[in-house]
Amino acid sequence: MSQASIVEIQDLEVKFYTYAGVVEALDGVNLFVREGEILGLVGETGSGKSVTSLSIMRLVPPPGIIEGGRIILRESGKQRDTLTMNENSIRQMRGKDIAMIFQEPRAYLNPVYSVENQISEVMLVHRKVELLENSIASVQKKLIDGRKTVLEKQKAGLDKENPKGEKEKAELAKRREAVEKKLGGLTTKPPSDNEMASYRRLVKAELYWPAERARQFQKKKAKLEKLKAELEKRKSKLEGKKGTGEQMAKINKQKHAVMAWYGYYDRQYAELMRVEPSQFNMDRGSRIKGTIRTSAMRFPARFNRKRQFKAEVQKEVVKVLRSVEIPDPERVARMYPHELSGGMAQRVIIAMALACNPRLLIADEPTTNLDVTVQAQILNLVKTLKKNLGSAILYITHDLGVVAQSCDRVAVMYAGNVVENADVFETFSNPLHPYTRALLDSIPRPGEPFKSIPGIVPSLINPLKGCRFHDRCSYATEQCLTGKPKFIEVKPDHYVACHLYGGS
Amino acid sequence: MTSLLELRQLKKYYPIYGGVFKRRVASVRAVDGVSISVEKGECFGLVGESGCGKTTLGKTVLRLLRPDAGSIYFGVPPEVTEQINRLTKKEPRSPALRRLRRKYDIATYAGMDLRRLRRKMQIVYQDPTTSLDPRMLVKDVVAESLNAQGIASGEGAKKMVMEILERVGLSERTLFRFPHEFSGGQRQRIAIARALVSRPEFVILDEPTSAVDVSVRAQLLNLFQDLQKEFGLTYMFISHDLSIVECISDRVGIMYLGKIVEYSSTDQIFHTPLHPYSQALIASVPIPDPTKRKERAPLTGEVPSPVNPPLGCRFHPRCPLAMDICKKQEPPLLDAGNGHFVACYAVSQSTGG
Repeated sequence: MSQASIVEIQDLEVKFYTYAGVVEALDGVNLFVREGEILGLVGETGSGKSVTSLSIMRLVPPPGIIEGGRIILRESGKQRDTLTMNENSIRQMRGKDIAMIFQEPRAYLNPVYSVENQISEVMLVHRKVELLENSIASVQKKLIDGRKTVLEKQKAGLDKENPKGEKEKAELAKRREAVEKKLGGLTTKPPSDNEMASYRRLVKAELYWPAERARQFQKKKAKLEKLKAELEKRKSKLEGKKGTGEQMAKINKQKHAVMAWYGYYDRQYAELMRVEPSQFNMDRGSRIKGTIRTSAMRFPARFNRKRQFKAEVQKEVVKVLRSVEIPDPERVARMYPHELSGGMAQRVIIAMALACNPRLLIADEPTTNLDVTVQAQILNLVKTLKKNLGSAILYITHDLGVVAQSCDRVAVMYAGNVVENADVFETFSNPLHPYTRALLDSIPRPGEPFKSIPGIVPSLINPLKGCRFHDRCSYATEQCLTGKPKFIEVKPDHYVACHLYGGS
Repeated sequence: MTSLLELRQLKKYYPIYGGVFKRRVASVRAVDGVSISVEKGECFGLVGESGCGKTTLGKTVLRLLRPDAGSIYFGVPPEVTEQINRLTKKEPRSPALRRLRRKYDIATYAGMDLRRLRRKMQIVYQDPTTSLDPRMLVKDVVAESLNAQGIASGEGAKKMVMEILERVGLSERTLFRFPHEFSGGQRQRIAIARALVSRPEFVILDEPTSAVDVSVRAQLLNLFQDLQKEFGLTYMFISHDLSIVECISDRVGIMYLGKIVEYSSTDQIFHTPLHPYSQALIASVPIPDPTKRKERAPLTGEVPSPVNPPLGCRFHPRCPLAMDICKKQEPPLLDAGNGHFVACYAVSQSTGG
């Protein structure tokens, strides 16, 4: 059942404790989403589609309570049960591992913030460090490039004005000496011009680029660690032997010195990489904490660190907007939600969900409020995104046409149960559960009378005993009134919960 | 077949006020020159994307909105229609035409004339939750139009209400309950009962099934068809769901940005659509069959703003067949044979018209 599945729901039970009574919204839901597939979740209103998806995100609103079951999240061999995770790890997961697209795009966009601002919010929560590193790297690249062109210009100027360039050469030699002095006589013979240029770059790097310093601190730390390990080894050799007290004392002293230096470099390194809160982005009154400021970003004054970082974030936002096929993403990024049409707003919501490359994307009726032509566009987008990113998609809808057009597998829900789960071709050509059949029959076909499912979706306060579909099912037997059918694999990869197929 | 409803160049603009003195600075051209005819006893489907003016057209036809220009002829004898057509062509300013229009054109109606008219025309709205007064009992909701029209009151009204409620599949027990006690499908049945209790000839169904579930949708659609046969109703079925329209309508009109771009029998529209927009619209409908998958979206972009519709043919910025003439002139709605009307230069050129 779980071959390469990234999310697996086992016997999930959710109840809502309302004044009218206990609504048994989910009654043992079994569901799994495999890597890189689109799973369509179909069912009528109140069948528990949305509650299932909210449970995965651990977002079930009160008075709803997740009463039982497991939701297993698989990640490169590791398993995590989201229902036992603490709030902090859940927040780490939301938006990064699992992201969600909602039905009404307008309702989920904040009208007072620009598109860019809202998309960057997700990135700043989950991809802060990555973006910081990118912005440092881009500044470094700019500096190196700038330096190169300056040196090249100087060289060209020298060649032109002063072919022999003796005066300049003397000047450079002077500087070289100064450099050598600074470097503490690392070299024995005078360096060539090329070497000198690289020295200069090195010196510049030493002075300006904390990343370089950080790297050196790391190196030194590694060296000291090695030294420490060696001292330990020697100590352990000496241990237990007689007459080695003096040696031991010496080693201990050395070790102390090593540890002191290690601590010094460690502190230096931490200082360099320190992350402080800043006011780059504000979120509904509460400040997003830990938004970038490290001392590692002490760039030359002309590279304002905040502006650099902001530019990096903007670049990333435009990139993600482009990935959802928004025309002119630079302009759209600066727009506010009211300037967007329905289809555009939905694309922005999708972009927001994709900002951190989630492994699972939950799409809760993303096209229900959109026009057919725009719906076709969004469906195609979802399909290409799946192909490009390889994320799995849980697509919740009540439109069987949409399912047939875009999903790989289908799970049918009825009154808080998944009643059938199979490949999309299998579901449409060979539906097994009576409810699935009825649902497929209710698709309007020209020239035929409209077929409906008799009865109404039952109330989930005091739901029916046994199979919850038995009062609307024409195949119902005695067994269906009492025993709840088990969810079993009837055929390879075709799961059904019905007494007709041996689910008793 | 005689036509029950005739629209001639019907226009409805919503004003946009702005500037210092809140003058009218622009208009939303919601309905911009619509001419169609609805036959007696048929179900006319009106299809289009959101914002194309379907609902405005419906409301204007019922005179819930005052049209800015054009005429609406409802239940006019054919010979009078002919006379009006003749006069409009020959002497559009003649007093005879003015007299006729005042008598028959409901776009000019006001006061008691309108009140009398309302009895014959009714509407069922999209969302029954908002279209039913939450503080009125079902019996009052349904009987309201009887009282207002002076058709019946007291015991007589009660009898009629019971009759119609039973007909739409609601029992006597529902009489003394409030709308919030019902499910979506049942509420829509109450709305239908309210519309039909005064025995109208013409009912506008404005997306009556978009707010209900698949299984209930089928029940409602069957009810509509049964009621149509029983009461001899004429429907205008407004919807964006083409699969339903295909099943319920006799003829279909496709709207784009306030204009009818194509209208014909359902069969012709769905099997041989001529206008590129209709073709794209029909191709966009997801087919519930995984073996018939479509790989590309047939249309890019979205509906432009009706405040500043594109010059010429309104569809030309998105049209794959757009020619030079489409950018300059608006294509007229022409008969392409068999009562299949299309407004497209590409079509009229290929058929040699």
